[in-house]
Amino acid sequence: MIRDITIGQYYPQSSVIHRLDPRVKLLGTVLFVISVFLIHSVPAFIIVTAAMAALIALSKVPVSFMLKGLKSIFMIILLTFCFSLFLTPGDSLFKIGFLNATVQGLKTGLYMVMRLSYLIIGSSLMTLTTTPNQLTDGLEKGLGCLNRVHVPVHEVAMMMSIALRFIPILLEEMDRIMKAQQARGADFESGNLIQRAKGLVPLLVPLFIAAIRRANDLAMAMEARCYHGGQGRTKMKPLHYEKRDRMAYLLMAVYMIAICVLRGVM
Amino acid sequence: MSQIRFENVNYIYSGGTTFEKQALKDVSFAVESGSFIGVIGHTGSGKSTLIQHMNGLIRPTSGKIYFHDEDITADGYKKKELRSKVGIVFQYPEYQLFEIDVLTDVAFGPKNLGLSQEESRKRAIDALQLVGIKEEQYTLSPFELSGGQKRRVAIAGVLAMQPEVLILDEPAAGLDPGSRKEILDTIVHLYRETGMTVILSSHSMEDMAEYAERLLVMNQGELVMDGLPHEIFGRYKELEKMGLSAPKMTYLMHSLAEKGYDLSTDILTVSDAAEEILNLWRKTRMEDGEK
Repeated sequence: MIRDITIGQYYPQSSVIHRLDPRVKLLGTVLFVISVFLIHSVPAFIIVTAAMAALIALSKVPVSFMLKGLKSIFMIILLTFCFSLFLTPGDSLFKIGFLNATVQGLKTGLYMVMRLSYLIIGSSLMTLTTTPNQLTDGLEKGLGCLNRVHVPVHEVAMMMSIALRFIPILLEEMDRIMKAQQARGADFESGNLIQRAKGLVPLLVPLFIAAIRRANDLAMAMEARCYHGGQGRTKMKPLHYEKRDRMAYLLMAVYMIAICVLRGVM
Repeated sequence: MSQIRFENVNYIYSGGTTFEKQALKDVSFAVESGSFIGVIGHTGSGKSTLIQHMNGLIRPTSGKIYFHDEDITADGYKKKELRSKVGIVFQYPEYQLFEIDVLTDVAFGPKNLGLSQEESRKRAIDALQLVGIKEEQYTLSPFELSGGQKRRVAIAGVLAMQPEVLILDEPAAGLDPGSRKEILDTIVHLYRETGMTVILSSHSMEDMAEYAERLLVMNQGELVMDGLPHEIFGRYKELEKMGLSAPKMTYLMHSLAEKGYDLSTDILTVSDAAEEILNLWRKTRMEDGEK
């Protein structure tokens, strides 16, 4: 059950998307998210869908993996759809009690569902094809200009990569503690809400202790290797743009212009 | 009737993805009540996975597991009852301590079995006595104890459920030699005192040679050997291929036998080896005397 969490998971494959510079993928994701919220016509929608489908095909990651991420936000999507359907004023479609479903509501609702799911699929496409290390490297280099206005970019990137690295470790730890407590007869699955919340104590106390212990060890190990922030630190694999990265930027520009033009026309 | 029986058990992690890994391959064996069994294998050989199958924490992908001839993989089998009868002490068990004091922590297991406050306390005290924790330590926070003591408290936490089978995964890992010996002696003492079945996994061949009555050898998810310790260690050349080894005494006795000394090669411990060599020495001296 814990192993089903796919947020931030990396799917190893060798594809063009996997090999792209992380900065390209980061900017691409941001642009994709913006484009998803810019569109409000069927042709634009087709372009966005086609672009996404092409990217998924190129990445060689199974589609089922992408859709797994959607499962966790299914309730949010459903709620958003219902809110739009019933709370948008306009021509009545059908009525349930005092709730009035409208044609305009249905349209906005469908767009919202589409936008939210594309948002999730788009960002999981990035995390599935980029290792957490590449991602933070990309962020650090891409946002390097902020250093001039005294934003500690390196420190933030380091914290982010450590946090990401700790997710699977802590999940594993939790799995182990859970099994150990189950072996002592603990029950995490039945009972009412209060009983279940109480049942979490034997899980959370050891987990917090483990997290603090690990953080301590890590701090010690970093200090032992003379870590002193980003100043003067060199990279083993410095990022630099290749031909495919420049191509990707070009495609992104074309895509964004198309979206903007479509929005202006329709 | 065997106590625990595995029949063609397979287990696959993350089936259907690129992370897929077969952790157990067609494992079959039976455990008799009251035996002391050692499980050896390289890291990642499937030892821990095997152990977790025994009380239903992991469900096999295929195959059957029986406890007292009842299929524990069947739907509706009472897992909670099984877990009270088959106690597992995980690796580094001290990391699962969480209560405000030692006694309450040990009583957590029996309380989960639905026993009264008093009965749980009584069982906890019994278990703590068995592992040799002193009464004045009952009210301490588990985090104030030393590493070896913490581990004994954690073992008591499982013992307090009064299981028929006690399974320990690397009980001596990460301890100093002194605490190591203490923990292992405690386990042997428990075994002799209570007569329960003990299943122990360890990296130390010396420990296994000294305590286990029967050995299971795991390699890459397969049960490759199953037999008496001296039989298994006699095949030390095969063990070495799996990244394992035999106790030092096995090597010594084999080299001596190769040099032409008339010694048994079934010997596993230092004291037995000393005895055997002394016997040979006395025998040759007597023969010399006769001449």
